[in-house]
Amino acid sequence: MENIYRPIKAKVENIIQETPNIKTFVLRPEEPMRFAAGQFMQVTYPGIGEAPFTPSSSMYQTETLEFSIMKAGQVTSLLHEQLKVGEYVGLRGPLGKGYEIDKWHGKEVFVVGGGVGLAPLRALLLALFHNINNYKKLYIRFGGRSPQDLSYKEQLKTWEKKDKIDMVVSVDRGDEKWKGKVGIVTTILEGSGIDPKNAVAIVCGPPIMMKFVTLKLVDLGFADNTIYLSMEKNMSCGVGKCFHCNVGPHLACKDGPVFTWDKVKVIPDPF
Amino acid sequence: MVGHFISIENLEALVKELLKTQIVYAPVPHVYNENTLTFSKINTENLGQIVLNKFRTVDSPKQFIYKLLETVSQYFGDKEYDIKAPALVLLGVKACDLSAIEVLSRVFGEGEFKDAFYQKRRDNLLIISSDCDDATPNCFCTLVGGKPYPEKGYDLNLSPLEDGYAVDIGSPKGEAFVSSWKKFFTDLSLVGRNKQEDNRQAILEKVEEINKEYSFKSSLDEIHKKSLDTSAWKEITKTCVECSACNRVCPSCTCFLLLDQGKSPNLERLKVWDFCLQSSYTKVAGGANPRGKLSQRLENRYECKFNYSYERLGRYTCVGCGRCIECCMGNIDMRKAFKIQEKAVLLGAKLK
Ligand SMILES: Cc1cc2nc3c(=O)[nH]c(=O)nc-3n(C[C@H](O)[C@H](O)[C@H](O)COP(=O)(O)OP(=O)(O)OC[C@H]3O[C@@H](n4cnc5c(N)ncnc54)[C@H](O)[C@@H]3O)c2cc1C
Ligand code: SF4
Ligand code: SF4
Repeated sequence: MENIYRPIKAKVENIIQETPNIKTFVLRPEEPMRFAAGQFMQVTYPGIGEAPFTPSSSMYQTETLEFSIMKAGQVTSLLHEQLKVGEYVGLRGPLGKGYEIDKWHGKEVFVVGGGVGLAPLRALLLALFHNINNYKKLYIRFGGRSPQDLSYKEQLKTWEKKDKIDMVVSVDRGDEKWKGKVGIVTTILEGSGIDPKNAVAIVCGPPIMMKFVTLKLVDLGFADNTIYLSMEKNMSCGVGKCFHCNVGPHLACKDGPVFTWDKVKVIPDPF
Repeated sequence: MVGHFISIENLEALVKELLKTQIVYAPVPHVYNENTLTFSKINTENLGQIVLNKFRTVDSPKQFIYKLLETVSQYFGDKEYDIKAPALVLLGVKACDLSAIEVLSRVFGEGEFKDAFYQKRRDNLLIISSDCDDATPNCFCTLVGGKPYPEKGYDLNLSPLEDGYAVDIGSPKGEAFVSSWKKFFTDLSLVGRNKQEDNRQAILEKVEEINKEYSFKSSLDEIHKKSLDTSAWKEITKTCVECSACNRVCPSCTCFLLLDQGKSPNLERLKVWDFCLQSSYTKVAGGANPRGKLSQRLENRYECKFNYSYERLGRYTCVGCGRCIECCMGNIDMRKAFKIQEKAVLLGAKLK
């Protein structure tokens, strides 16, 4: 029987500093590992620890995988401070369910992200761009604490110019050079002209942001089952056995990590 | 159903025979408290102390199939890890624990990903269970749909009769066992099952009597589904000291943590039991904690056993062994907690 706890070896090909506390690690696994946007993987820093991350690269890019990782605790700090190009990490996955992007054909898609939440959303957007004609329009609403806390800045500029895309980026605190909006992400959700009756909303970011964005989306008229939330729980095994990531009766690693609001709102303390 | 009979002498002789080639664990009175039983490794010296019936042990048989701590990977080479799981014979497992083993088997063995470590240990186990003929004040299997005697989940079951046991076969493994040790068994029809049935009725009544003040008006999953009333949980949690003893003794708790350690090239990943009552259980990087309050964690434990499990597995995962009541230094008794919850639910219903 296959050992579900064994990681696959992956070589670190490149490390990109995105923001002061987010780095993108480009990894080349020794065995092919394909994933669907929204699925995640467990990244092992050998001997140090394992933590779940969602690839931020396109699911159509198959040789290498990219993970944008925020320095947040023990394992992520050491990944940032010690891991070097040419060294190896471990990968287990893909795990969980991908976004139901086929269900969104013909609809408007409202993508809201904050902080390192942009990582999984980049993978999602790259998947949507791949078949952009299947969707009516994409609205992108990103927030960051300050201009330097925004990942993928150069890429964001090229997306802005694409057809069928309406993008607004806001920061909590601007600086001299910042020409965009200033304010927390909830302030840029109104007035987009989106029709919530024929739309879905996808949200990923820190728990507190998720909570307020969700309430705002409900306010704007999005039905509970059209609001997709990435539940980033404490997770250990990633394969539905250890139960750390329970969201009420559901497990984020197995039934998620993305849940619609109707599933989440009935349980105590979702965020 | 035709059955088998084994006399007390033959059973002792059979265990002696088994000891020559197998590892056998069975309930033996605890050295400091002879009224409690613990699973002990059997040898020719303590063979005579085995207590087959009475009630469940203090420690659950989970320890034999799901290790407190084990190495599960020495990445990256081990595609199929060499799992060291010797064949074991477990004697005297009770109905509640059989039900808990079913929970473990479903959690670790069902779904897309299967835990080879659990599976191998489970496969290497021969379970010879036995009827309870007594109960602790904390036993409540009857409240969660169980009975104090095994009906499934065993290879062989032993029910006490005059001078011996009725032997029921519950699996092909049990069948094979009886045929390979034929000389120890005789035909049950010579003795009959009357005493087995009388005993079972008597112990069932005893457990029901112990729990008579807890006969609920609603089913437990209903109580938990409706009760999102946090004040009731705060009340129940008042005396909890977060020791997690309840998690540790529970035969059906399955949570664990993967832990990486070592220095290259001797790296290893450990799988260690983890406890949902601890605040670290749900804490995420950055310090946020969706169940930061102890009352939220205790509520989650109960929801997990009665409500979430019902949605997930179609059954309660609490088997009513009462170990968590027995060990709780805060004197928290699940059954009383249900009462408080039920009251809150019924009151809430009246207010509507
Ligand atoms: C589905 C999902 C997708 C995610 N995607 C991203 C993403 O794309 N980018 C991103 O930046 N963040 C992402 N996160 C969050 C990320 O997983 C956490 O930031 C990360 O786990 C923090 O780990 P840490 O060790 O640095 O933090 P800590 O707070 O130190 O530890 C958090 C957890 O790490 C584990 N851990 C710590 N030490 C060990 C050890 N020795 N062995 C094994 N495990 C150990 C433990 O489970 C611990 O509970 C995601 C989370 C989830 C659930
Ligand atoms: S055994 Fe009792 S005191 Fe200890 S954590 Fe469980 S409920 Fe709390
Ligand atoms: S929750 Fe308590 S009574 Fe129920 S199975 Fe676990 S230890 Fe036994």
